[in-house]
Amino acid sequence: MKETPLSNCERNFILKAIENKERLDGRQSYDYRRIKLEFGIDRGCCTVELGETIVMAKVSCEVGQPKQTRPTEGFLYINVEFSPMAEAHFEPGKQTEQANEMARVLERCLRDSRAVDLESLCIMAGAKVWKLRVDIKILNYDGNTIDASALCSIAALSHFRRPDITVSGEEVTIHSVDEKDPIPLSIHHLPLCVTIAFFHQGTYCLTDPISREEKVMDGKMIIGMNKHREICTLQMTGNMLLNKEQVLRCTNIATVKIVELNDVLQNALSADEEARSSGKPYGTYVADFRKVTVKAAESPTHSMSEIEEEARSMQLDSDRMEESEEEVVENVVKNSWLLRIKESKANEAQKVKDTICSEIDEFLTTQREMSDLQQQSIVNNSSKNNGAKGQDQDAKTDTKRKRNQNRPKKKPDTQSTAKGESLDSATSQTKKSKGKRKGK
Amino acid sequence: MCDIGDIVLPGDKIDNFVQSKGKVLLGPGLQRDGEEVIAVRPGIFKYREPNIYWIESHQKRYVPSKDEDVIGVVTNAKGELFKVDIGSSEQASLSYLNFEGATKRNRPDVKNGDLVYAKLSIADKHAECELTCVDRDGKSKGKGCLPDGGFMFQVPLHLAHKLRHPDCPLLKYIGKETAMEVIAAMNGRVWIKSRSARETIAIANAISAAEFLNYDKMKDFVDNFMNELYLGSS
Repeated sequence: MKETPLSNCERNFILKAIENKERLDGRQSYDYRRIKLEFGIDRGCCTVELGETIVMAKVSCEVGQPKQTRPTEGFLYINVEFSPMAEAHFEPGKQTEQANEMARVLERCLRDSRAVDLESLCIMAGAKVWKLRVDIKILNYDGNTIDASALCSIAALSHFRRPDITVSGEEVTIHSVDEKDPIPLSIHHLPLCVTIAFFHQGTYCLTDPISREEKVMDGKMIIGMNKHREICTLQMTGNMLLNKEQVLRCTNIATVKIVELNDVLQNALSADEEARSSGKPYGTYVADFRKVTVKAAESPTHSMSEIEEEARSMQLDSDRMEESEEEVVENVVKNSWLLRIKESKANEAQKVKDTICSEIDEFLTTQREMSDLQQQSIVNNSSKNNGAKGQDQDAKTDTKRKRNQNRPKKKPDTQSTAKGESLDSATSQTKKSKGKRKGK
Repeated sequence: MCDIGDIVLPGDKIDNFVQSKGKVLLGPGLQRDGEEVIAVRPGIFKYREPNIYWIESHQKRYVPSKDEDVIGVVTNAKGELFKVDIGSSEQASLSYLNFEGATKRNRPDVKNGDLVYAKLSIADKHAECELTCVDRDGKSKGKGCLPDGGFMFQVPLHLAHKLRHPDCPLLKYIGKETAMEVIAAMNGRVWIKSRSARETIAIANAISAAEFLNYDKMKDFVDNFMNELYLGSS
């Protein structure tokens, strides 16, 4: 069966509503939907409801042979499946692009950031290791499956207990649950994902998009991060360009949201522990984010409220950016990712970012050089012809440049103009920062 | 065993029909199994004059049936037959001549992605469904392309049926609060147009939230919902 197409009327309405800072379910731009975490009777089974989106993850383990190149490391394998129950156009057993992308993002987020200690899964070096497998199933689809499944899989992994083993010589005994208590996995940190959707070429951005918003958006950025503000994954998809400042702002928004999601996860895990110790089969936890954010804004004692307001105030229209904000951004850069990414694998994301940034920089410098050359030639020509005229021309170009800098950014109509404008704004900002450095 | 308005589960025997004389019509959710009638769906057992019985259950998937009014999205507006998605398993077709005032020379202005409100003229299990936007006299009677500026959303089928029921006062109450145009179609699609985006979102949420409300609770619900949640705070 074919996917239900989005009509022009829905598309236009959603875009118009977003321009007026309205969303279809009455949320604010950066609000999450209601989150419900429910653990199964089995260890390592978790269901997350994010609004209408429902995701289930189940962790299982088996003993297998390690890779020859890494004889002391266990495995973590992630499998994502879109069930036809979620939406009629998902076909069972078919590996779709969407499922592959999700599995890869989650692998990068969980395995490549070394959230789970794979070395501790080694039973006998070079011979036997534990192989972990996370099966994620999308039970109902209403957008933002990545955030839900990242939360779900890390919750399931932290909830999981593997059977205990004893090694005597060459012999390995796997104890059943009755003989010895199963042991939890050693998890170093809890990486979570935040998806930010972009509209009107990055002028408007929303977290936690529903499926209709996802169909309309120009692109999205998935940021995997833990509560220590260490970025584990960063991926952007879609037909659009962002400048460096926008990427930074997105990470700022993500830091706030990650703290909230992390609280949800911790509370859910402790709620489950409590329920289990009091004799109930499993625990559930519900967080309504609309209430949480309101509370956070009201109480000044809340430690994250400052950053939250910061993130809220940081809109993506680049003309609203002021120097103080720039400093804040610079500080955040220093604190958060440039210095704090320690894991070698997490550098992958960094490299991609660096290459993009350097490419943009290169482009900008060449552009600047070109314009300088042009100006020089103009000046030269005019000074040759007429000295007085040349000065006039020089002044004109100066005013032109100023006008360019001061020109307010209107919302871009087409992609090409958007490209030009975003680069334009970047040039003006790099010029500013250069001037600053000189001043210092 | 079970009365009208009771909740039935698949496998339940149904034997107390109101009238034993005349032909009994079994609607969705009921099946004859030899001498007895059993329920094959979970839901509410319903009855209508003169002798029609069916089970109303939660359903999102639309199964086309003849003479029903549906809202469709045009997916291919080329050629003589437009392809229209009506939310069923297969797309329906709509001839360009089946619009009011359309002739071979005067082609209606329909683009891909446009919404049409149409009636199913042919709905068959084995053949493609056909739509029409005119009645027998060639008049549109509100059918045809829907104007720009509205918003369409999907609700469960039983809610759409409820909205279309002449006794249902929900839309009347919402209409008292604010000016709007609304179409609730049998395939669970509801199209609304009001003065602003904010109002439209409020109305859409009010309609979706009224899924399990009784008729007598609707007035208070609409008052609270429209005033406090949306319009009051603006």
